[in-house]
Amino acid sequence: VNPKLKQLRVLVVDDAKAMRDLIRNVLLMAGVGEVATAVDGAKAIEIVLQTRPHLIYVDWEMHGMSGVDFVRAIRSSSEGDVRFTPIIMVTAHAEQSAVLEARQAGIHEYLLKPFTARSVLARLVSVINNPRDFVRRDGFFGPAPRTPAAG
Amino acid sequence: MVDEPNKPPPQDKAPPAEGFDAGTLRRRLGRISFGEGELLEIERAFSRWAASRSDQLMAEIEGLCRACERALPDLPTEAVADCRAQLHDISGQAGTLGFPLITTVCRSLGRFLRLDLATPVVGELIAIHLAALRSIAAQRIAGDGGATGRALEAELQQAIEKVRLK
Repeated sequence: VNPKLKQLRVLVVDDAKAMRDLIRNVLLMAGVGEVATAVDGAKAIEIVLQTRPHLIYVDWEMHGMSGVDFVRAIRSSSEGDVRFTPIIMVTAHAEQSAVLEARQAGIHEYLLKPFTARSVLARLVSVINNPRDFVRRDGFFGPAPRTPAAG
Repeated sequence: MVDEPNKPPPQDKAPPAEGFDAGTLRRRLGRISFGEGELLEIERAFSRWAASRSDQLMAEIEGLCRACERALPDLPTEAVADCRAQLHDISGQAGTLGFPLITTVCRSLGRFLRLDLATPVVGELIAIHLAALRSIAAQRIAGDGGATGRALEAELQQAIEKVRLK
């Protein structure tokens, strides 16, 4: 659908096959060129190091390494510029404390379940259209918090 | 994160040109947007795909029910782990496929499908949830299910309370 997205390489990490398929299908329908999937955080890290995806969707609740632990692992990676990879956290946790925890781990966006095709793509658009500098402060490393629009 | 006012945040070293950060993506791809028509088309395609996927979801619910029934009454470790994995999978996809009531019942079931709760009362509670899931699947109750969905949720709550008071 969107020819610009043909160049994009995305990784979807979820231990539930159906959820991986759901997000993967939406991205492919939208024109994303390459969508890889991983069943857990450990496999995802291998794929990240091998293929360097441009963007990652990761589920919070996974067996073994959780989504938040995966984000921390990526943000603390010393491998090239892997630590800057944009990450979208997928979760059913809508509580403010959960959002804050994910933000503190260094995510770019938060995608709440149940999601729609529109919300999956809205997060992708937001990551690309509104890039933020990375900051390192008081143990935090991740995209700078959004500042309220002037006026 | 605590912001420090009046102090510019230290910026991490900018990634190289072949980096994978959002800024590089923005420069490489330019501004991304979808027209309303494109989004509607994607949504329609997604709906068609989701509809075809829902048959499989209903089959997976039956699979979960059978796995739970096999695990009762003792709830052995491996069987519980298997049931919880199936439950997680079904719960996650059901809402997105348009069956949030299934997600609600799955989350409730997850509270009882635990090793430390293997008692006859819990077995009964699990059976009540399985009956609710089978009923939703048989009737293909989408969305919140309207009056049928509300009645089913109320019946489930009443049954849970009744068993708990035993």
